[in-house]
Amino acid sequence: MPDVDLTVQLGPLTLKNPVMPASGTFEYSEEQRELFDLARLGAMVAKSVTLKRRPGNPAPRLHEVTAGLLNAVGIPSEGIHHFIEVTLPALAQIDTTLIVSIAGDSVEEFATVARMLDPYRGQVSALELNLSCPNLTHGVPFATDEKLMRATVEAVRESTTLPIIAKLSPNVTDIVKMAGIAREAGADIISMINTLIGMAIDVETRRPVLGNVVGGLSGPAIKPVALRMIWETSQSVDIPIIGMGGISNARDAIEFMLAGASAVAVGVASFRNPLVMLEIVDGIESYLAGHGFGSPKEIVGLAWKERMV
Amino acid sequence: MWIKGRVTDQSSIVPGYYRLRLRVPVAFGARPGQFAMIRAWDTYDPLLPRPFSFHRLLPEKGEFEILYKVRGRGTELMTRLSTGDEVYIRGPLGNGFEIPHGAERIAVVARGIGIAPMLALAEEAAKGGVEVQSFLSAKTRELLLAHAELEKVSAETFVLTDDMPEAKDRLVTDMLAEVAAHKKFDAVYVCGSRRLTRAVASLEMEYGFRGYVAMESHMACGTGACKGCICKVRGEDGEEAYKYVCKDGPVFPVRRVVV
Ligand SMILES: Cc1cc2nc3c(=O)[nH]c(=O)nc-3n(C[C@H](O)[C@H](O)[C@H](O)COP(=O)(O)OP(=O)(O)OC[C@H]3O[C@@H](n4cnc5c(N)ncnc54)[C@H](O)[C@@H]3O)c2cc1C
Ligand SMILES: Cc1cc2nc3c(=O)[nH]c(=O)nc-3n(C[C@H](O)[C@H](O)[C@H](O)COP(=O)(O)O)c2cc1C
Ligand code: FES
Repeated sequence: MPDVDLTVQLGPLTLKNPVMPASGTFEYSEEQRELFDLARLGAMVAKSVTLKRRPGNPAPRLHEVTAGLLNAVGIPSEGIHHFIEVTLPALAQIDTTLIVSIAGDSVEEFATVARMLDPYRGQVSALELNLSCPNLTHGVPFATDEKLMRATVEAVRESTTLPIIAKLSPNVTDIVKMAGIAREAGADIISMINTLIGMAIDVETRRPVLGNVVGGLSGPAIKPVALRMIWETSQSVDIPIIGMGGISNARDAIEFMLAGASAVAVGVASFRNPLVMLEIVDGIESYLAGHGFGSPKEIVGLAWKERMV
Repeated sequence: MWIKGRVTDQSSIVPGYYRLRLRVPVAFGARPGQFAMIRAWDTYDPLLPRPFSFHRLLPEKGEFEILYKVRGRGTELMTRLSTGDEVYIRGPLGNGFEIPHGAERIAVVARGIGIAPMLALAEEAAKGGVEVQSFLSAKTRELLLAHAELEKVSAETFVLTDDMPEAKDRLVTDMLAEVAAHKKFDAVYVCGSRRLTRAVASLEMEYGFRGYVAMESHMACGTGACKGCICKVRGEDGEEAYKYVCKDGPVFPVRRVVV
């Protein structure tokens, strides 16, 4: 059996292994630190941070549905100043790559937050743009509008020299096109997918369940959709993809890599099993070893590459 | 902690309500008022663990009990657990109840399943020589859950059920007020009803005890990661802000919560 080197190269970004938490689903808490050494993660990804303090959406924010979770958390944030002063020094303690997710109401807000984080390039390794939040003037999410997508990624590109990860929304007609725009505008990496917009209604009260009426669906229920989108995007856009959406075990993660993801992120599954990311790292390693591969990149997109020959 | 526990006993106390006893392999260090996320299934439907308060802590046996009401898919599946079955447990989580230093007398106020965390508290208080007075409310006499167990550790127990004629214009907290008029309570703890929570908050001002409420909310992670389990809490300055029930709570000073 060959020795497996789990290191992955995502454009300018090097990760010790291809597994990381999805933004907004993992906290650097005391309780979490007791469970495992966070340095075993390929990267740490922080919850999206905005320029100013925001409260987030009213309750209820969560509702479990068949094989999935609807969340209408919104983007509660302590704001970038608090992040830089309190959160960042704590996250920087973890001996792994740190990805900071940023969000905003406007193109300018994204650019400002990116600029404010630029001096911390020693601690922050990349910025992920949460483009699924709504734009204040147009009302639509950045990731669903071609012009906004382009303008935001370009503005961030001009504000930072850090690698940029554009996080795509699945709530679009043509995700391949959106990925292409993000790439042209200067994104180094694509991450996909964010949650699918959904809702639930309580038949007794005859009212929507979530305080915000609609929310984002994630978990096992969305896995086939995420997989299909990565399959299509990876065949036409030549920058690396961090794949996510319902990954719950190593098999799921390997499926995403075979579809074209160079690395994977795990969200809801960590709520179910807080050790799942470690199990996925180990599972990928034994899959690679067992099938005669030396590194994760050898299996990226194999499902379509092998099909073509 | 994230561990596998083993069922050592389960019984239905009244239809739709169960007491489940679990054994954990390591010292758990749980306190009354804390909770655990429990998953008794490997399926994706239900998907996530569910939060339950510690009903009874039995550290010398390496066990604890939860008392639960069947609500939906998760609790329905839990009713099928029998001795020897394994469940996943994440905990202990949350802050737990605080018994003020030097307290001599406390009161617990609970309605329905809100009794769940109160037995652990009352047992701990009684063990420490603190007098406990219990004020229990429920729809029917039958639904006064864990009444007998609580009575054992309480100096006095007062009950008021909706089917009693005097319940028409009284709350169990009115009984608390009558006792508080001539006995000093150092702390009062409430769970299971917004109405009782508001009543305890107003009595706190009048009688000068410290009031605490154990809050509930829908949870996904139980550990502060998902930002889902909010409740509204007033700060010192009177300004309202969201707090997380799992991490900042589940126990809050009663005068702070907006219910
Ligand atoms: C800190 C904490 C401690 C708890 N302790 C106990 C306990 O000791 N005993 C006990 O019986 N229950 C307790 N609960 C509530 C318990 O977690 C829920 O009843 C359980 O999650 C329901 O799961 P289910 O799969 O059966 O229902 P689901 O199918 O998930 O839901 C069924 C119905 O119940 C509602 N529901 C689900 N969760 C909650 C909730 N947290 N609050 C209000 N409504 C809810 C849903 O909206 C739905 O209408 C506690 C909750 C919290 C947050
Ligand atoms: C509770 C919750 C909060 C989330 N918060 C964010 C966020 O702040 N920023 C972001 O880009 N994505 C956020 N997401 C989306 C996830 O990062 C991820 O894209 C999505 O959940 C799909 O992965 P999963 O099915 O493995 O959970 C959140 C998801 C959940 C469930
Ligand atoms: S349940 Fe996730 S933050 Fe409280």
